[in-house]
Amino acid sequence: MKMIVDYELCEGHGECVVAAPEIFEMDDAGEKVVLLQENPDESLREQAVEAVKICPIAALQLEG
Amino acid sequence: MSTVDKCPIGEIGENFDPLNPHTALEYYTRARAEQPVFYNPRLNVWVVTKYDDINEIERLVGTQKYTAKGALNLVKPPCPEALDVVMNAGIKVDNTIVDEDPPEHTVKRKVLREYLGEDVVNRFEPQIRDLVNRKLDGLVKRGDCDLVGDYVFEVPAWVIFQLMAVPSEDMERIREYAKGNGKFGFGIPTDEEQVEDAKGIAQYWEYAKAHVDKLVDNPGDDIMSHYIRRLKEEDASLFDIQDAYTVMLQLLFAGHETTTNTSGNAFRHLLENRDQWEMLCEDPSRIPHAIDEVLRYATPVPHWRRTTTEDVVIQGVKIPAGETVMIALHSANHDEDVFDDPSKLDISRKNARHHLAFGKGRHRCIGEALARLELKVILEELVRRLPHVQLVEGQPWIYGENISHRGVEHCLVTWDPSQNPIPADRP
Repeated sequence: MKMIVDYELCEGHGECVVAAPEIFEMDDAGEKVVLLQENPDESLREQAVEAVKICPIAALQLEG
Repeated sequence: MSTVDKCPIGEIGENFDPLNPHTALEYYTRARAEQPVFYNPRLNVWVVTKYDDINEIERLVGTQKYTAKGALNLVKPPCPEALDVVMNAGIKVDNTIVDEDPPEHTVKRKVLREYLGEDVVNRFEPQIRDLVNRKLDGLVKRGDCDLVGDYVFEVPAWVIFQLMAVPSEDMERIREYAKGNGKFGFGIPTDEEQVEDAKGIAQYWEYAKAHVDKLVDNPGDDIMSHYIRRLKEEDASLFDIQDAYTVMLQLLFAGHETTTNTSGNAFRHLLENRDQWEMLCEDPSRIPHAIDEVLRYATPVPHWRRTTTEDVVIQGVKIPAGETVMIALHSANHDEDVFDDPSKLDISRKNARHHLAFGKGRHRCIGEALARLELKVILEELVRRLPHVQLVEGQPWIYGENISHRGVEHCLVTWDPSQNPIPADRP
């Protein structure tokens, strides 16, 4: 699967970091999230789906 | 204006009344199953009821297919006398953030968010807790009260006024000015009510203008000074003093009724499902999650509007360009495809936080952190000092009738003051 972040929309709420800490972390400025793995392993699907659902700004999309 | 053929209007479209809180859930449930997108001639809107469809609209609004313009259209156009009041006062309510699209929206939202982020609003916690406890001080020995009218009333408005550095001697007066706004904007007032409310809003506008004009020359560390300074820094071409007055209007309107309504809904539904209330009394750390379940269950902003910028097709229904689409957030929050047994209030519900009560996307409620903080403190202190309140049996549940605000106006409770858990609270 492929995780896509819309950085224009991202406001750095960090909900995705809480939902999927293996896939996201906050940047040093605390302004945007950092995508740690563009193609997370299938075992992380549940966290990836939750991250997409919980992002308040709908800045995430999951493909495949 | 719509002159095109609407798709055949079935019984749902014909009879659905977006202003009626008592029949709403029943209509949403039927619509989701039988006709998830329908035209409602009563309000000339296309109603969208499924969670995924609403999510998609909010993801796109401002960039493709939908614009935020139209979000604040009056449900009942102003009668001539009310219009006069509005025009004479020079009130500008549109095309500022709430109903604006990128690129202007993006910059203004960014600078306003700087003052409404979690770390900033959390600085107000001690003051909020202090105010809430002072309210309780005046109530605890009475043995009966209206939790909406006597307890939370004024608290959310007071908090917004703190953010704006409005002097305390002005607060009560200005809150009165804004009283009729919910019905004026989103309901169907009588002509007389429209004129009264327009006069109130005009008075608030006058106040906002004087307040903002003072700040332009003498900025402080309040939210409006921040907005003006930062907007000029980011893009001076976007700064317009009329917008600043509008922002001050919008902040009060957005942050006031919504939070009061959610509090009332929380009291009603948690106390009606007493086992849930008792779980909170036992473990107040569950309060934040309970707030999400209440927002899902009794969505305080049940509908919101967008306008199509091109022909769109949702669930096989074609909606022409220029039409008003009404996203039924309350319906999305009861969508069986997302929430198991949605008509059950369950503060342990695992995915309660997936609700759309704060919206989604670039127009996600900017006051979310502030609302959550206020609601948390309001419930924490009630649980701490009056856990034994009981709902008055058979009380009527009265809601304001408008399309975008839904909350009980009163919540009557009684208790035995001699049983107050804190000794100093007993008579």
